Amino acid sequence: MKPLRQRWQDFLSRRHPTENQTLTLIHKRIYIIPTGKGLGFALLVAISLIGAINYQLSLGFFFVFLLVGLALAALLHTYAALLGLEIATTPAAPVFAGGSAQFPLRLNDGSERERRGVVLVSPAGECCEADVPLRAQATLALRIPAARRGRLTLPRCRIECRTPSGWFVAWSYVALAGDCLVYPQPEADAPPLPLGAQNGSGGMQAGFGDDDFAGLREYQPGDSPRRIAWKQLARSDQLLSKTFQSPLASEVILDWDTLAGLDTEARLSRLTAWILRAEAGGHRYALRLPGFFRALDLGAAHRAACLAALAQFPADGEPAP
Amino acid sequence: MNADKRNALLLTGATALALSAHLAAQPLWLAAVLVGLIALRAAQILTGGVRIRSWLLLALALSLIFLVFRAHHTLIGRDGGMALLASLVTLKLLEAGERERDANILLLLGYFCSGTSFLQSQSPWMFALALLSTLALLACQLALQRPQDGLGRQLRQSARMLLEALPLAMLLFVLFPRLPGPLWRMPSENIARSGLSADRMEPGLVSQLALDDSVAFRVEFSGAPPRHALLYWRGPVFEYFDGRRWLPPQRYGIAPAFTATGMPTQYTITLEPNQQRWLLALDLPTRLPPGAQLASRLQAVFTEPVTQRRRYTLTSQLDWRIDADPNARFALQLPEDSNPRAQALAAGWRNLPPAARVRAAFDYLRNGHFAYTLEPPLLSGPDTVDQFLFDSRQGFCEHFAGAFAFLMRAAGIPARVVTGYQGGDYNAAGRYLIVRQADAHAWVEVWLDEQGWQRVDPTGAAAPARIETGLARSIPQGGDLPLMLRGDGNWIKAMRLQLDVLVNGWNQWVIGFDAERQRDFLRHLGIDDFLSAQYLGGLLGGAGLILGGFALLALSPRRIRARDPASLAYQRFCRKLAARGVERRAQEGPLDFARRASTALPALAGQIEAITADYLAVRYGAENARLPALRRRVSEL
Amino acid sequence: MSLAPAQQHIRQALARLEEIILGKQDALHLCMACLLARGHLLIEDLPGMGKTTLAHALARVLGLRFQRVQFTSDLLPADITGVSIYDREDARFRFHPGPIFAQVLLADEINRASPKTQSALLEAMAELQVTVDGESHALPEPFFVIATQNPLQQIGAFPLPESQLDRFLMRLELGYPDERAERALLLGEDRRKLLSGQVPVLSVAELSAAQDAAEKTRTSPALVDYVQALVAATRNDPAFAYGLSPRAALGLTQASRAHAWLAGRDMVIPEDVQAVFPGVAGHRLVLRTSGRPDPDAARRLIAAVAIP
Repeated sequence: MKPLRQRWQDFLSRRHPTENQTLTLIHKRIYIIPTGKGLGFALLVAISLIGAINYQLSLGFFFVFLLVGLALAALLHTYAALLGLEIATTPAAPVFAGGSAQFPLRLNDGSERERRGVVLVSPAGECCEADVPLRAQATLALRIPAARRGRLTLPRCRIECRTPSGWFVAWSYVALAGDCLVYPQPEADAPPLPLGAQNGSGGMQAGFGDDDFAGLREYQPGDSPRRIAWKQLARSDQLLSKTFQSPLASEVILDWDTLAGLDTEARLSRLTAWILRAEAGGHRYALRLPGFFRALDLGAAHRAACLAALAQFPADGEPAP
Repeated sequence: MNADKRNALLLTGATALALSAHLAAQPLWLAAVLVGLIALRAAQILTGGVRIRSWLLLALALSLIFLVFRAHHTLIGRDGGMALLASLVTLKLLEAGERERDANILLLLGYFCSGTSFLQSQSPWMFALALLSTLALLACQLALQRPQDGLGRQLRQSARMLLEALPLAMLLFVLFPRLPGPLWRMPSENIARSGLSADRMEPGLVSQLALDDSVAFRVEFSGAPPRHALLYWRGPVFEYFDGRRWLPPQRYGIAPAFTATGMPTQYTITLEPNQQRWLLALDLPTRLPPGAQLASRLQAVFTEPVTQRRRYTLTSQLDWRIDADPNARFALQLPEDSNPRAQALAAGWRNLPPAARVRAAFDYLRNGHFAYTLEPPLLSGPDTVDQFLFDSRQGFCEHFAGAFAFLMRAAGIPARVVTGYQGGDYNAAGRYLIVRQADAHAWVEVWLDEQGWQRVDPTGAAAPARIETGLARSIPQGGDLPLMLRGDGNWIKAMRLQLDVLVNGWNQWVIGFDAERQRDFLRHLGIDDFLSAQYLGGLLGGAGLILGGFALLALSPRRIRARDPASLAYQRFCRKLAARGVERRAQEGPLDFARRASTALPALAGQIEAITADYLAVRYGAENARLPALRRRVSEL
Repeated sequence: MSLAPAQQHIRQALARLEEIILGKQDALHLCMACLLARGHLLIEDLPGMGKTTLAHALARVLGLRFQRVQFTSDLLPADITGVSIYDREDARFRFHPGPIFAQVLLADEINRASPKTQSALLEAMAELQVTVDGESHALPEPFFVIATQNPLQQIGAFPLPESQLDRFLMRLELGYPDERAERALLLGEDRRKLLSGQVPVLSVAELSAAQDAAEKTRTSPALVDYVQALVAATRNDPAFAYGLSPRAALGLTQASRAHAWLAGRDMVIPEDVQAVFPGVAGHRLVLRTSGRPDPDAARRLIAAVAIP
């Protein structure tokens, strides 16, 4: 016999099968029960009713029934806050292993109703709250810890609402197909980039950029007056311009095969660290993996492609892609 | 001010509002202490001051319990219990910290205080106050759930929820089965009795009431009301005279049989709670409501004191006669040596026939320059009757009645003093009679052989107008009378009478909606029994109707924006085209759609183009003059 | 529908342009709308698609002073804005206006210049004046920048950052001409000769009046609802790194007005918004995942947002 917990999870999976991209909360999917606060309120109503009966207080009766009516109104408001809500997954931004993946879930008001205080609870118990304005959408970012590289799928999570009164909690389960790419964790103290190993030349180019002072040259029409060397002008009556220079970008090829001594994960970690370092330093880089090559380039798209290849690299024992 | 602070203040304010009715019922010093503590809490929030230490709180709690006991001499029951509740809620307010749990408990206590404030009073004002405090508490409840929202929004939503709660509350109010009596008996309450005194009548006691314009009871006659001079509402009867005071009969017997003559008058009385057992009825009642009986001195009494406003229907006949009454012999008792001058006066009439003795005494009062006044001089000394008859000669009805009964007894005729109310103020707007405490009156009944008990009103000797028209006309200087009792018909009085109609309706239909009235009402609806199918049908059907209304209002998509007339016409146009197989996508512009539709339906191309041009001109070009043309064209399509 | 004289002249100008730039009617319409809305234009296309011809022809037909600056990596800000040159005779600096002091400025391959030079141009575009050595020089009226970007050659290039892209009202792609247009191009006269033969069809004053008139095109609340719905959709869609800015929303409205005016209407209708929306929003909607603008995003949004 399976443990009770497992049976409950199985029941939920059957009742809330994983939907494709979007899901609409219909009445069959929503559950509602009173909270502790609500039970306290019910107790108060019961006591007041007994008091009204005993003292024959007509207005006491009315007051008790008014509270009952309030509870009903609160129940319906809480229920309505979830009813008809559309939830859609959108692509999650990739993360590095060890961080938290943020699954952006779009909540769309599907039936012209304002919904406030919609809370999404991850299986680990992490909450995030959003308001869905009338005829509009809101985005909730559900944080799921990403422990391992690869593809992280969106787990089934709970969506609940206690507004407006807090007397009731309405909830449902959100099981949507969505995944997030988890890049390998960058190696903490990776060795420096293998610059120059291939053809890198970390030289400087004169006349370019404006980081470091490089020298003086004769003034040419068009030079900014700010660059005129006024001190020299005062000393020698010769109009000179200052020149500056910046380091020139260099190139590096990151090759799986050069890291022969390490195991798969360690290699991936180091390559990840190098890619980040190359991007930060403005070095153009290429990536070579078994069965994958990406030519020299720089920029967000290149970085994303390279890191994705690292993330999806088969683990030890898996067949190569 | 940040949201937390604001919400804490809101909670304090709402709790104070819920407590206000209880605070008002406390002695001034206790109320002042509690209000001071609440103000302390508000200051604590505003300044972010230090929390009160727990030992200090304990000391405060103990001293408050002591104060409550000092004020009410009890800690349970209605008075003591409510005072204790108010004190403890105030303490809880002081003790409450930032925790949500404290706020939740305070909210529950607040609702409870709002509900129990009806124990203090069930007036419309109290009802409004309770609604207001419920609204404030609900706003706190919402603020607790979403502290970041604005106050205005929370108040709006609370008001909306209250409105949504009303239908169910009204349905249950009408249909929830009421029990005829309490579940268990409460310890007797120390509530001041009001109105007529039941244990004695002495000079000055009735005239105290003359300035009290609060309502004693209201009467609806099923026919025309009798004349003012005949409206004697019979209350306590006093038979034993101790030389100064008239006291209730010392011995009880059975009520004598009487023969009623004349037309029966049927009427319904709504009696304000007076904590007494007297059932005021027109002299004399022939049919009494259940639970009431006629006592030996022909007073109608309930078995229980009237602690709730009561409504009862009875029948009286204004003429009646009694042939024999064994109790009449007790009505000759006199203390031996009291009021010698009056005894001497009456001794002079002993030779006359009984009826002539009564007339002689009456004439004596009429011709003796007696003055009817609200402020009679204080009668001190043992012989008050002598003092009034021969020295001061100024008095109110109890002076006249007391003296007259004394003279009659001294002259050998059985006599007793009857107190009650006389007259009343007819409210034409509501077609009912208001009898106020100021209408309290005292008169005399004398026993004449062959005729039985006869009513003599000696006040009529000095001030005939009191009997004919009321108090206001009979007092020379009306300035001292409360506004409602003055004779001059000013507009304020008219307005107050209108208001009294509302209060009366409230009393009848809201507060007075008890088991009996519910049964009547349900019978009117065709429901005889709480277990009947009709009752259950009504309850469930009503609840279903309310839920359905909710589903329509709250759950169905709300159309908030009023639709633009041009859009409506255009949508009609789109529906017509959709029926012909060309459906407009919501994202499609009107021109694009027209192009597509014209291609698909070449026969209609001209009309489609004209309608689209009109629609664009009205909706996007603000040429509203073309709206009728657009509508016409869409209709023609 | 009767057209105002200014409308007729602009249409005439458009007809002339269509003779020169073959098969690009929609792009020309948008380009003209951009000019009328007082916005600047970014054309992103491969070389040889007729970007330069378009800019030149536009200036010719509208009688505007035309300047072209080829952006290169060593172009300095002063090369565009002009410089203060030390005059030895007067012993003071005199300002020599740069090529930016034109009415139609073609900034060719803007992404090849250093960010510093780019921002000098973009600042001038935003402020309609050039400040050199603390002295402000107003740019001529009208001032219309057509910048081009080569999407392929990213090596050694400095793509415009999003904040700078926002300064361009529209981004267009000319794309390949269709078969018929290309055939006409091949058989027809030399474009350059055709260009030089053009005479202006309207004056600067008339153009300015047309810009004013276009701005007054009626924009109903219902239309604003639609614009707001579109903008809200960009802001709520988590696929995008960020939604359209209020400046973009304003630009969208102005471009829609100009488009409606060009079509001869006195009110803006949703089709106008839909026509200009890809041009206005395309370069501003950056995908969260790739960090690059999504060219199809605008069309997707139009297909998703209902017209209120």
